[in-house]
Amino acid sequence: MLKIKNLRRLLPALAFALLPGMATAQQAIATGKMLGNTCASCHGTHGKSFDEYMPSLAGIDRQQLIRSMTDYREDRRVSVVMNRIAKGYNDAEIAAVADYFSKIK
Amino acid sequence: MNRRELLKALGAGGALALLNAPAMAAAKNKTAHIVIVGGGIGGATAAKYLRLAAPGVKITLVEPVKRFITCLRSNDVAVGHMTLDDITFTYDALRARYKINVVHDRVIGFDPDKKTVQLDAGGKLAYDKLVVSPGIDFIYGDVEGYTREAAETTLPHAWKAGPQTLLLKKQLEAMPQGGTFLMVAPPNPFRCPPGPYERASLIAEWFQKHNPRAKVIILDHKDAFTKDVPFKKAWERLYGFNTPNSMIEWIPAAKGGTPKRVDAANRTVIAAAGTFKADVVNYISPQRAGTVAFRMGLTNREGWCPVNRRTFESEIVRDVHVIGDACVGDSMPKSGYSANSQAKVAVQAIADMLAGKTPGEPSMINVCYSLAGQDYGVSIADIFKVVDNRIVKLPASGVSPITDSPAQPLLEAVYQRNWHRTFANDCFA
Repeated sequence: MLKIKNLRRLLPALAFALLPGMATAQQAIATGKMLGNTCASCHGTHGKSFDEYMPSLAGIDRQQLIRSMTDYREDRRVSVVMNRIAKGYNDAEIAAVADYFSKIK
Repeated sequence: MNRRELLKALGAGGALALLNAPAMAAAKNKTAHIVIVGGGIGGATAAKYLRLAAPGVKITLVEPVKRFITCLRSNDVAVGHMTLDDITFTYDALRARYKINVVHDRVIGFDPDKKTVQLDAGGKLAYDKLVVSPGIDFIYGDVEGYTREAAETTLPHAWKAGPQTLLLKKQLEAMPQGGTFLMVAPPNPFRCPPGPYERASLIAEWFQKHNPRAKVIILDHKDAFTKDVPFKKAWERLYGFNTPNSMIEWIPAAKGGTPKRVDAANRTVIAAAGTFKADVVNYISPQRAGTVAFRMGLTNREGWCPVNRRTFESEIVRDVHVIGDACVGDSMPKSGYSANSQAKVAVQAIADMLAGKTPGEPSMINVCYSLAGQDYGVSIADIFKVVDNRIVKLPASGVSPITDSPAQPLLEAVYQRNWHRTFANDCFA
């Protein structure tokens, strides 16, 4: 039987699964760190870039990163490559990577 | 009977269940040693990210050269926009900042049972996990007349940056006015799928300035290539492609572009489409996994290294992970970005395995900017997941959109240069 404690832990996952437009919600997702490391190839190790067009992501506001990625994905904001990249991620993955970068000092 | 022999006797499945607890204890009790063979993009990234993931382990990187030259941007070197120094990186930061033991040597022997690699200078390295990032080597003699000697003297492939790049540069500079540059583009799969077409573009652009009546002819083993739509649009805009005065002529396999015979001394390539005598022949050889992978017995019949796609552990030898151009990557191109991304997945898997955990979910990206001209970039951006042990490209992403706005290709060219700097730091610094 599920204890309340466990149920509470499950709630965020359930909420994501119920969101519309999430093709791969049922699939396991990579950790924020794994996802963030793939961003590092353009945005710098740990999201710290140096004086380049690709901005640093380290310490970014969580909501700001979620909004940016979602806007890119839905083509509400234009960019050189981020529109194409953002289309590869669901809401849960965007939240995980936003958690990861927002916590880096 | 030691643990390894017991494992063998029991068969992997049952043994794992039985021995999981003692194995975990062993991993905790002694410092694990991870040996990395090959210090290119994949190997350097693996070394650095292993240190970030597992501060306590011992890491040794074995790489013959002391200064690594990236293939990335070597086309710019061939036409004089950059120098080899601009694309040369050292192992100083890996040593100093990440405490990697970098050994400049060559692996000449391998004992997968005793888990050791033999170094050329003598001595063996015992490993708990081995990462092999061997890159590519070339297949000579695929057509009559094409030999290693021809490649090294008259028909440079320039597909590993360094002396070959400079040889191609020298030949271009020595071309007579109105001469012909002939490229043979390799069959799939090969390192850097857009590379031949970027090179053809940059050479056409260089001809506009230095040799305006010269021509670029591409003989191709294939009928399509990556980013061909934006590349051909750029060629129309910049080099008169599809007009009688086009500086670039592309002859696909369907139109007889596949080379049949080479006459190296006369710089001539014979194909069904005709006999092509040129002033410079850039014969980009067919490719296979780097030689060390063959020596170690990690390759399949096609000459590449089959791996578990979630961990990049070899399907042939346990505790050996193969990353980068040499591995079988399904829909993932053989690119520097892919090697960097695969290294991070292998690192996650190794760190999880050493901690006695199931390897976490992988995620990978490939982004690749190419120049169709110094101010004209085209790109591809894809996200990859692993489904049923295959690397699957998610459908939504893809190549640069074609628009009438000059801003898109201009910005892509700017990003291209920005990216090379940041990317090299992610691998080496």
